[in-house]
Amino acid sequence: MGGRRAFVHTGGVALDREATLVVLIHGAGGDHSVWRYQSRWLASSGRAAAAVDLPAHGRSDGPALPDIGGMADWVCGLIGSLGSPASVVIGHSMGSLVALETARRMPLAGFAMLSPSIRMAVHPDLQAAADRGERLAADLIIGWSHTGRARFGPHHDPGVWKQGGNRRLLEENAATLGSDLRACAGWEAPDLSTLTTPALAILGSRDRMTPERSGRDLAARLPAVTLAVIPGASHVVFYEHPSVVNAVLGPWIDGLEAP
Amino acid sequence: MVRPETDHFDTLAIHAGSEPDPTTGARTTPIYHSASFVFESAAHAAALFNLEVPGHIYSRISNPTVGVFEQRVAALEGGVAAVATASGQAALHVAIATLMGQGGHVVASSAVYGGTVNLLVNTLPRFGVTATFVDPRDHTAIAAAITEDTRLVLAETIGNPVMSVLDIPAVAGIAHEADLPLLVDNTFASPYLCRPIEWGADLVYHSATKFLGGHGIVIGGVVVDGGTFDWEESGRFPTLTEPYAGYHGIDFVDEFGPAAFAARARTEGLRDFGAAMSPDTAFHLIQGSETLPVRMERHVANAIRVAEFLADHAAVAWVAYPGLERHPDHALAGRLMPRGPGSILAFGIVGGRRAGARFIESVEVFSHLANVGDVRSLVIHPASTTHQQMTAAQLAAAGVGEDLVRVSVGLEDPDDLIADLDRALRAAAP
Repeated sequence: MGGRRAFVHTGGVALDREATLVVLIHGAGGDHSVWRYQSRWLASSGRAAAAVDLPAHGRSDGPALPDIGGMADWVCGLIGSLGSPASVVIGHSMGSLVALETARRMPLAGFAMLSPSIRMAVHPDLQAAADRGERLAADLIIGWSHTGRARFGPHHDPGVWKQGGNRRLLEENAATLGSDLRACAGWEAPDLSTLTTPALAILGSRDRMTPERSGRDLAARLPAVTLAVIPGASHVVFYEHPSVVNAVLGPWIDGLEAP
Repeated sequence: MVRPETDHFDTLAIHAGSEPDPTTGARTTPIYHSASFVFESAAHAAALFNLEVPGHIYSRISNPTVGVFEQRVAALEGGVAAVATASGQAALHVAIATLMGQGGHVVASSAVYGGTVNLLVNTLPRFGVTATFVDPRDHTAIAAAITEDTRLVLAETIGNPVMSVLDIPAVAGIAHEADLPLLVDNTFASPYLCRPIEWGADLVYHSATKFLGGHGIVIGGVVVDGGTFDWEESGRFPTLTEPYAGYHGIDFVDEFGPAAFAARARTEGLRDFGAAMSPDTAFHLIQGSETLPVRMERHVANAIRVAEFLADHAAVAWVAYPGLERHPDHALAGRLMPRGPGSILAFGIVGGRRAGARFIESVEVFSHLANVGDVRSLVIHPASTTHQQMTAAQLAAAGVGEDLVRVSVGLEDPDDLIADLDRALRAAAP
């Protein structure tokens, strides 16, 4: 895109350009692999999955995009280049804001927000640690993200210690984490009263990064929203409760119509 | 300054990977004695076999009890995933087979377990995988031994049986300079004393039979994926970066991200080679892992007492224990293992082979057997047991002399251990 490499994981199968395109957007300091339990499942069930590495994350070229609006513009460009009869954008945490802003910029069949918040304030110590590339940044994010069952597991993938995987992603994307967090903190919820694109908000009742009430506040501003609160779930709801999340996502996607 | 809420090692040793049983409420992890697991539907079965959704299919590939042990060790080692195996040797084999095929080459420390030497020298060459052994302290030699075909650098945190300490950051740097991963056998240190991934290693394996279990009642192994190595960037590992026909063309790095190695090690290594850990074994190892921190502290404290006693004994020619200031790796051990360099040591008995045999036969608290890392104190004469299959040249390269006695210091009262050693040394005096 624009002469720069953009990496998209299509769930292990070639992108079906006749199928509904489902774009998956990771959170701060992440990459496409956070959607491990969604991308391959979506691609194997008749959808065209596209789990992206945002610029400067994973295998996509930089530079990092400094604000949520810029990331949404990039996603719009990606959707345009991939081509699809209908597109759905799903984001987690920071990515949920990108999904929302994408919906404000272009017609979508729908957008889903996992662990969203009406405001994503960043603790100044976290921001400072991320800017300095300190281990503390990952420690804080992991501690606040892995609550409830996600704290000790067992995680669903046999042998996989999700906190460790999350730490590696944050380390690999350390150069952009500070920028991502600043983008989160700098986003202000706009007037959403005219955004009629069907929305889905999936919240965890034990989420300490983006608490349920903050997600509810954002959802309350959306005219066409479906709200799903997963009891006991933490911030990393999509890999803490993958079957529950997918059971919500699947029928919701199937019920969408092309814009 | 806000404090992170990540859990400390001692907490992870008890809780990581486990939860109260969701069906019965059992607080300790049950032994899930089931070969297979029921599919919710035909679609669910298809999704499991296509690796779309996580879950258990058949206990050769994964099992809930084994999974708790795997996640716990991954957490304790600071890794992203772990794969438990039937033994430490199986863990090493799975690691090598995951990374390379015919034509592959390993650069290995000469101070490794005799069984590792045998695998690399006598067995794997029949399958087209060869190895070059180098002194782990000779970093120039390590770099020089790397060829175009090398796919792995292999060493032990504490080299068996001469207790050489691996300079993990330096050796990892050499491996990474050549776009290769470093695999470390961390059996002798345990993650409580050293976490090789934090020092630059990419993969870690254990004979879990030793300190991880601590009780010496089961055979088991585990390999941990640090998630640190960039397989894609290296370009030398098609098993992880190219479509695999065994799972519908899956690309493990694309699909599993930092846990790509562990995913292939499980879905191919356990599925096809079949050296899986049993749930009984995992249950016993889980019990052991819960007390790892307190056991290791006592192991180290006892080992220091024993090493100091031996160092001053007239019937002892030399003592190799990195906790002693005179050990050449003492400073390095202090840096990499500030809590202590384990509880395995070696010493040379005055009087050579004959005195060694008399000593072994005279101990009463120590047990003469081929194992380490037990709550019981153990003793062995490597030249006639663990290293008996090595040639004279390989023995010399590994620093194993005929007088060498290896001791694994257990958790008994150190005064009783010292008294037992003293009496046996006197009995063995020429």
